[in-house]
Amino acid sequence: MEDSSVMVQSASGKDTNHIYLSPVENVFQGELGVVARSEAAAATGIGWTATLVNVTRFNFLDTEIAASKPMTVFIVYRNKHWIVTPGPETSGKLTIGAHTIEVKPGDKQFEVPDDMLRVQ
Amino acid sequence: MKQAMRFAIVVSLVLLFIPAYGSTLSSLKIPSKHPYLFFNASSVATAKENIAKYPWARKVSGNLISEANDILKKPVVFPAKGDIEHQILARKAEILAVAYLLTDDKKYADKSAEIILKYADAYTNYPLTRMRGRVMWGESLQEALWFYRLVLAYDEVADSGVFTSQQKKHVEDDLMRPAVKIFKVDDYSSDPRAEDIHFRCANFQTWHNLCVGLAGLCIGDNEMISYAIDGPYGFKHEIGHDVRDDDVFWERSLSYHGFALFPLDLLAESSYHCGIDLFHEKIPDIIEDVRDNYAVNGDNGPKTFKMMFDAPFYYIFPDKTGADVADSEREVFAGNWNYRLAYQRYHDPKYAWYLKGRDDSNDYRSLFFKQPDLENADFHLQGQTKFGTNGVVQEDSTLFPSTGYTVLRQPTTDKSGFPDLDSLALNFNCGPFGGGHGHPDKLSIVLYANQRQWLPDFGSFDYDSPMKGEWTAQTVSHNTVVVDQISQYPTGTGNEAYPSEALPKKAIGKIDLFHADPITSITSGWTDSVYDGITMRRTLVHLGQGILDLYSLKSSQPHVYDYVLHIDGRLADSTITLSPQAEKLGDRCGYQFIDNIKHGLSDKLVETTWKIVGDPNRLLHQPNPYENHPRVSGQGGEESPLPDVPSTPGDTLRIVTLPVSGTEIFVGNSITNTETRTPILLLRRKSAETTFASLMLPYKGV
Repeated sequence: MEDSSVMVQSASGKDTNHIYLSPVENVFQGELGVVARSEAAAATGIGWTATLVNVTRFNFLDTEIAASKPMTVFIVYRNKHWIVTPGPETSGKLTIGAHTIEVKPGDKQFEVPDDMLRVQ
Repeated sequence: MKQAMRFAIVVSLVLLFIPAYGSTLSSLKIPSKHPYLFFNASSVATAKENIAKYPWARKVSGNLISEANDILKKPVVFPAKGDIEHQILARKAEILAVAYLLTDDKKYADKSAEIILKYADAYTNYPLTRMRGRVMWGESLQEALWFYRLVLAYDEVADSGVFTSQQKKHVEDDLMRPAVKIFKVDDYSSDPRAEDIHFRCANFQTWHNLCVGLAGLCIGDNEMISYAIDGPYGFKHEIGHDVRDDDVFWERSLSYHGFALFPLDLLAESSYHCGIDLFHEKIPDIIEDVRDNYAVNGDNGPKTFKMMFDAPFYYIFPDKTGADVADSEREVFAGNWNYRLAYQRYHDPKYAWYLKGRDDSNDYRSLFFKQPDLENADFHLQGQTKFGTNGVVQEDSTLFPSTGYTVLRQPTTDKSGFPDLDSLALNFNCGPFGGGHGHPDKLSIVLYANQRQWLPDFGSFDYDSPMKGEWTAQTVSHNTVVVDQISQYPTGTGNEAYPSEALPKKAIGKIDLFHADPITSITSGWTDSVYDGITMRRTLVHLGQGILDLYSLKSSQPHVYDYVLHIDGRLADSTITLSPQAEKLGDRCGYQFIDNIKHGLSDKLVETTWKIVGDPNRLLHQPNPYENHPRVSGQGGEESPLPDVPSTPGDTLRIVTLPVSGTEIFVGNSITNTETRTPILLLRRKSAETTFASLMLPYKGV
C-alpha cells in the first residue's frame, strides 16, 4: 500500500508536536488498517499515543505490537507504562513486546509496565 | 376514543407509580406584605446597595428607569387577541413595577396597576382557544410568557397603595384564577390536554408550573401551590424525571435546558421567599418512562435543582460557548441573573467563574442579588470525577451518559484552570432523540479550536421559516453521515420542522467508550436505529493537537455513504483536482441548498486545507434565546454578548482522509441557520461497508 503518512508540526504553535496517520498492512485483504500516532508529547516528556484500527502488526516506539486478528486499540506510553484501552467490540490477543494480554469487549484498560516487556 | 381511554388508563397507572413527595405546604409561610415573590424587601435593599456601590448596577438601573419613563409618556393600548404585543405590554407592567421598587415613586406603580387592572377587566372577555389561550391563540406557552410578568408586576406593586381591596379581589378573581385554568390540568384522566406532552414533561410545563405557582403564592391558594410543586407534573417531577441524571433537561438542547431553567428559577426563588426551599431538596430519581417518550437511565440516586445550573459547565468548549446541537444556540448558560441567584443560594465558586467578566448591563434582575465573590471564582475539571448523578469527568473531558454527549478537551497543563482558549475540543453527539426539538443528527460532531468552532452545528433556523424543516432538521446540515441522500430517521424524506419518533421505534445512539488520560482522550458510539439494516459507528480520538475520526458503516447491501463536514473557513488548498459541477447533488433532504459545487475523484489521500480569511466569525452572532421562546423571531430578547472571536489570518484547519478506492470528493457552499453561506466538504463512497478515517488538524500560524 502506498505510504500516505501525514505529519503535522506545531499544531498549536506552542510546541513541537507531531501526528502521523498511516494506512498499514493488514493480513486481511480488503480491510483498511489505520494507525494514528501522536508523538505530541515527546517534547514535553509526557508520553506518546498510538491508535490502531483494524491492525494486526505495527512497530511503535521500537516495540513490536501484534494482534491475533485485526483490532482497534488505543495505546498510550507514559511514565514507562503502556496503557491499553480496547476499542468497543474488540476482542483477541494483543502482544506488546513480550507481553501478551487478552482483550475482551467491555474491558476498560490494561496497564503494562515497560520493565515487564523488557524482562520477558 | 378507544385510544383516549387507553391513554387515560396508562396515565392513571403511571401516576400510581410516581412517588408521593412530602408536601411543601408544611413549611409554607406566606409573608403578610407584598412583594414576596421573586423580589422581596431584602432583595430590594440589595438592589439599592448594588446601585450605590457598582457602576454596572447604576447603568442597569438608569436604563430601566429611562425605559419606565418612556412607558409613562404613552397611553396604554390594548392589543388584539393573539398579538405578541400582549407580552410586551406585560413586560412594561413589570418594568414599571421594578422602577417603583427601586425609586419608591408611586407614579410607576400607578401605571403598572393601570395595565394590570385593564387585563382584569378584559381577560375573561377574550375567547378561550383550545383551552390553551385567551389573550394569545392556542399555545399555552405564549399565554404563560404574558401571564408570569403580570403576576410578578402585581406582587411588586400590590401593597404600594395603588390598589383598593376591591381592585385586588378583581385581579385575583377575574385575572389570576381564570388564567391559571389555561395552565393547570385538574384531572389527568379526563382532560384532553393530558395527552399533550406539553402539559406533562416538555419545557412548556415548566412555564405552566411557574404561572400556577406564582399565582398560588400571590393570592395564597394552597391548592395551586401544591399543584405547581408537588403535582404529578410539578416542579419536583421536572427535576426527578425530566432532568436526566447527567444534569441536562431531557430535550437535549442546552438552549431548551436554559429555557426550562428560567421559569424553574423564578418559581424556586419565589417559593424560597415563602418558606419553601426547592434549591436544596433532594428529589427521588423517577425512572418510569411516561409514554415512553424518551430513554431513562435507571435510578442513580436523588437529584437536586442545582444540577440544572451545573450542566453547562460540563458541556462547554474552552471559550464557554457550546455546540448548538438540536434546536439551540451557542450560548448555553441561562443568563447572568440565574447564576447570580444560584451563587446566592449555593455559593458555588464555579458560578462566580461564569459571572466573572460578564456584562450585566442589560440584566435588571441581576440588580437584586448580592455581588458574588469574584476573587474566589474558580472552575476546573481536573480532579473532578463526576457531575450530576452519573456524569463522568476524566482529566478535562466529560461524558454525559444519559443525554449522549462526549466533550473531549485537551488537558490543561495548568491543573487549576480550565483548558486554554486556543486548545482543541470536540463535542460528540450520540444519544436519544430528545423530542420535537431533536434533529436527525446521530453521531455528529462539532470541532472547536483556536477560539472558533471550525466544524459547527447550526442549531435551528427561525421557527417561522420553512428552512427549519428543509435544512436544519435534515441530516446533511450536520457533521455526520447521510445514507442514500436520505435523512436519518425520523426525518427520512420528510420536511417536518419538528420531526418526532413514531414510537415505539426510537432514534437512539449509544456511547460505549469514553476514556481520557493526560495526553489523549477517546470516545466511541453507535446506532443501528436511524437507517434500516445499517450499523453506524464513530470513534473519535483526541491526539493532543488533532482529532482522529473513524466513521464506519456496515450493511449487507451496498449504499451511498456521504461523510459530511461543514467548515467555518475557506478552502485554501486541496491535494485533489476539483472541477466545477453544474449538477446539483440532490433536490430534497437539504441537498438542494448546496451549490457552487466542485467535484473530484481519488484513490489517494484526500487532503484539504481551510483558512480563515479575515472575516469575523459571523456564525457566533445569534440572539440570546432565554428571555423568550428559543429561535422564534420577532420577540426581541435581551442580547447577551458572546466572546470576541479573533480572525487571525493564517489560522488553519487541515482535514486528511485516508484513501479508499473510488472516493468522490465534493466541495460546495451551503447555508447555516440563516441565509449566511459556509463551505461543505462531502466525501462519497458506494459500498456495503466502509470506514472514513480522517485526521482533523487545526493550527495557528502560516
